[in-house]
Amino acid sequence: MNLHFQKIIALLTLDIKTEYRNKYESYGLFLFVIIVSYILYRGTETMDAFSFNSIFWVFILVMSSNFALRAFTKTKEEESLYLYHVVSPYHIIISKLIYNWFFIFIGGILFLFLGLLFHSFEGFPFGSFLILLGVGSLCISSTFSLPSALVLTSSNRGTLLGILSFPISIPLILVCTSMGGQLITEQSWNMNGLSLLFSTILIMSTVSLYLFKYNWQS
Amino acid sequence: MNLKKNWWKYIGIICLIYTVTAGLLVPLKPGILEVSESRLYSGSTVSLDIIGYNTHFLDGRYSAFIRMEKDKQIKSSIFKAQDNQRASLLFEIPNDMPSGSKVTDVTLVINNTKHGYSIYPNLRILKSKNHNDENKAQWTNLMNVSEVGWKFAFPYRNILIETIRNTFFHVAIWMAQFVLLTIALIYSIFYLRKAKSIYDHNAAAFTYISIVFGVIGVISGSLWARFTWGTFWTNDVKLNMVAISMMIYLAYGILRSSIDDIDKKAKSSAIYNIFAFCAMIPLIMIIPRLTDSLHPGNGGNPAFGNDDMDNTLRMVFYPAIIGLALLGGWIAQIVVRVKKVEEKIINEALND
Repeated sequence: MNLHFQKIIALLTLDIKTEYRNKYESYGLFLFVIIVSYILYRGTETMDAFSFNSIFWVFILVMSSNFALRAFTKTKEEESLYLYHVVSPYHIIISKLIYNWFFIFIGGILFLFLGLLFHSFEGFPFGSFLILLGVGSLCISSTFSLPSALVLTSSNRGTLLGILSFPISIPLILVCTSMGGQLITEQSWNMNGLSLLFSTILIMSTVSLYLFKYNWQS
Repeated sequence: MNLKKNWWKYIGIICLIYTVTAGLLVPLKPGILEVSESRLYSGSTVSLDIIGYNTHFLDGRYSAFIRMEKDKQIKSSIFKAQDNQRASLLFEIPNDMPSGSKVTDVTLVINNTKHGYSIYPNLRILKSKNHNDENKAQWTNLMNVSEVGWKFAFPYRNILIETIRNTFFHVAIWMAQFVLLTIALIYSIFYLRKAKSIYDHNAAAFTYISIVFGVIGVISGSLWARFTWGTFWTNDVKLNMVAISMMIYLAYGILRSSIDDIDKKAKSSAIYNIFAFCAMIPLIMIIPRLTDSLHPGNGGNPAFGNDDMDNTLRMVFYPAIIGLALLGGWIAQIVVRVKKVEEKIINEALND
């Protein structure tokens, strides 16, 4: 068990180190977030927290579809051949899932922070919204990880990833949006939605864990 | 005519023929189509003209009463039938209302010793301000509906009326689609365990057939919605979730057509099929049950409870599911055979 943890953490640090060495890619993410926030700020004279919430989740969806592919495309072929002998596919998919989650979470926090800075909503439930963002982004990363591994074999990756994972993530985004709206207007949690998100995380990550080894062998 | 090999096809055909004939020809039980007034006032004498559906007002002994609860009812003083479908009733509504509230929902029950009873639930009694001293009517508990023997007739439901027959086509085709998707899932799991191309062909064929079934289910449901809910498409949660799950399976088709390598195509589509099926379960099974929906079985309504299905409906409904599922399996088998022939031709061409 300990060894598994060590392997996953080693893979994660490997990913983050590569990310750190190619800083321009993460700069692309940050630039994307900043540009979208600025356009929102300039484009809308007045915005209330409720409509910001729905734009926020649409932004999360677009961002994750743009950046989910990167977790798999970064590894070169020789590197993955080496990894094939050292670690099991379970370690790989778990580390990619956490990596995706981490990036969506960071991007979401940045967007939330900029949004609050520009618009200054009164009585915005920052802490609980952050928890919702954590759960929601884990949910989205669990639905995006396996399809992004699937489309690697195809030539038209970006479009195919959208086609494969958007239908699955639309209801999750809807649930997240309604939960965020309830947090903002009533300051209360929708327990049904929360349990739905957790069960989706459980189902999707288990299925990804089980199925990824078949895809990775090729 | 190989009966040993093709027995399931014959069962499917028999089930389908039975479904179509019984589902379309068996009559509905008698019901009340229209009542001239829906608001009654306490302490007054009302005459109601009713229009029946499949009723035999001239046949047997009829009695009509308004029922509030089990032991609070009033009998009509006159039951006058004009013909088999039309009758007029006369009620004396008592002054005092047992519930004490201003508006009380009551049910009109028409009972026949020969044909059983039928009910009309959308009646209301409003409490009137004037106290009518001549009115001596009281709530009694004397009336009982008479039980008649079992008859092969579908139940009469107020808004559904004749469209209740769509249960055998719309609901059954979704059930059959679910069966076909489960078979496709099993073939996909088989393919991941043993990479034989026949499993892949089967999984793809069953998935495509279930997409076709889904489209038919959406169309039949849309027509049904036009007659019962008033529009072809509503913002009902089940419709949206079904649309999304159809998108997921269309994505399966796009994934298959976008990869050229046969083995990679088979493997990727098998993985995605399992993934999509697992993603569909929360969509269709869980989310509609959490929110309000017009469909039975969602938002707290029981599915296949005694209110929705009775034994007569079940007698046609279950054979309909079996027949449609077997029909889908038959079509899928033909598709697989075509695929096998294509594969054989390609292999022979490559060997030459």
